[in-house]
Amino acid sequence: MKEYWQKIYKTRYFWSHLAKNDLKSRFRRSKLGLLWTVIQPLFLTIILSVVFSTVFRQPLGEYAMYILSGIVVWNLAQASIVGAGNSLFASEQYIRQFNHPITIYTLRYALLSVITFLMELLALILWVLFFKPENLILAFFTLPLTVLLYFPIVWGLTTIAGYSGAKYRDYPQIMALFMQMLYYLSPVFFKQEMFMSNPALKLLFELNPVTHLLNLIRAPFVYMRMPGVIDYLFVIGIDLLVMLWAFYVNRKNEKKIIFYL
Amino acid sequence: MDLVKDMDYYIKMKDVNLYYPSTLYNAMTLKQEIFSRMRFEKRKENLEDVHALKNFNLEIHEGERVGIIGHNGAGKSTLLRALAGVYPIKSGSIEMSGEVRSMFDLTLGFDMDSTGRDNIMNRGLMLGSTPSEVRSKEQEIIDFAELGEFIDYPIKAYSSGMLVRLAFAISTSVRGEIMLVDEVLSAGDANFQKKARERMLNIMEQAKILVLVLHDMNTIQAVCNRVVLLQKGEIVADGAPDEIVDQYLGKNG
Repeated sequence: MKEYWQKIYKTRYFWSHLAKNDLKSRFRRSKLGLLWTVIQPLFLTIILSVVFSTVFRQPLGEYAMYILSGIVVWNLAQASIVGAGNSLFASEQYIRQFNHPITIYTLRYALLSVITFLMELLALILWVLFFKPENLILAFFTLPLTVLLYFPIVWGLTTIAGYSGAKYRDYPQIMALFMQMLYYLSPVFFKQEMFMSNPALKLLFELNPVTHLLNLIRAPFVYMRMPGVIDYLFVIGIDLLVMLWAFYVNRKNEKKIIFYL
Repeated sequence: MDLVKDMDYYIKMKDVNLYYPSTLYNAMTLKQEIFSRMRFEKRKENLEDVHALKNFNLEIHEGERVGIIGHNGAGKSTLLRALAGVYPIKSGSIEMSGEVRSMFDLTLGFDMDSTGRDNIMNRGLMLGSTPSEVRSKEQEIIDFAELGEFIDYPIKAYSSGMLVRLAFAISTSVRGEIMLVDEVLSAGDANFQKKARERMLNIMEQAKILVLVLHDMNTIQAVCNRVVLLQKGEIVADGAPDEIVDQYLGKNG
């Protein structure tokens, strides 16, 4: 186990360089580059909040922050579960030549996802700065711990998705369907109150990991509140669960995955 | 760990069996997997239908430069990949002492949109160097590949010859104690070939152990001091280069 971590550490120049290159090539082709990552959720938020504030009669400014925080976290979940299905294919050429730990390739992808998340978060920060600048103090205070808690989940899910994507060719399609379902059970742009009408729905809402993951960002950024203890405990629980699961999947498949690529 | 002044370099393969699947598409879909689990059916992963190395025993010691020869599909490349730890073995053991470097596919991992200079860094790190090590070798690589000012152009603008020269120069800038080399001696035009061969021979001289897969028997005879002939995953002959190469060519008719 310790040896395994040492191997990951020994190859640090390699995987960090790959991640850096991924970032560069993601933005190389457009003039707007980095800015585009910020603008995209911002525009989506403006459209959605205009539509939904009319339909649901929500005050526009605050509801936009609500949606934006939802989108940013949802995009991260989407990347770690659906997009990550491709993470081992993307590194196939290296896997065929070296016996580095396979998890450095999912680490490469996880780093990219988290950095993209932080850049999208910039859109939220701009929005909050405009409507509720006083929220930012608590937001910045809680952010480092939040990212620290998110990272193992992202890496773990990426690893599980990477192996599954390599083994099962229909993984992205099935997961896209699953995420669609999860989307409607998650408070990404539905308000919390909407889930409370039906006790079964309420239970699902409260057991949904996305609810608690989202609260870590949403409570400070939108409501200037500390995230609840329940939220933190839930997220730490998910951290442990995902890491254990990823560890198991990795141990079972690391050697033979070459035959699936 | 205590310091050993004269480290002993070796490769020891004992009763190694290696299988791989002949086709990928016996892989299941997630849908099938879920349904078969729901019916409590245990399915078997069919990953072992080609027996590529059979009860393989081989010992290589320091100073040996071993050429691996045999027909296509005899297991030459599989053997190298097993030694490099890329393919898992089913049973038996492989023990190695020394730092392993493999040279299988020279143009691997090139990013066509990046400049030559960026790609030197890419590949150098990939082969296990640190950033400062790569920077110190950079100029030497550029000179050897005869790229001049082109080094700061994106490599998609390179001719195929330039690309191969760059790839060769980078790959051969990293040294190892145990070198595993698979068919990489044919790089560039006639002029460069000569240079490449010299550099390659030089590296091979410095390696403590060399395992070389090559179809060119002349080079095998020139470089190696031991030749192993493979057939269908088994060693059929092992000994002095001239003798084994003759046996192999004789069989060919």
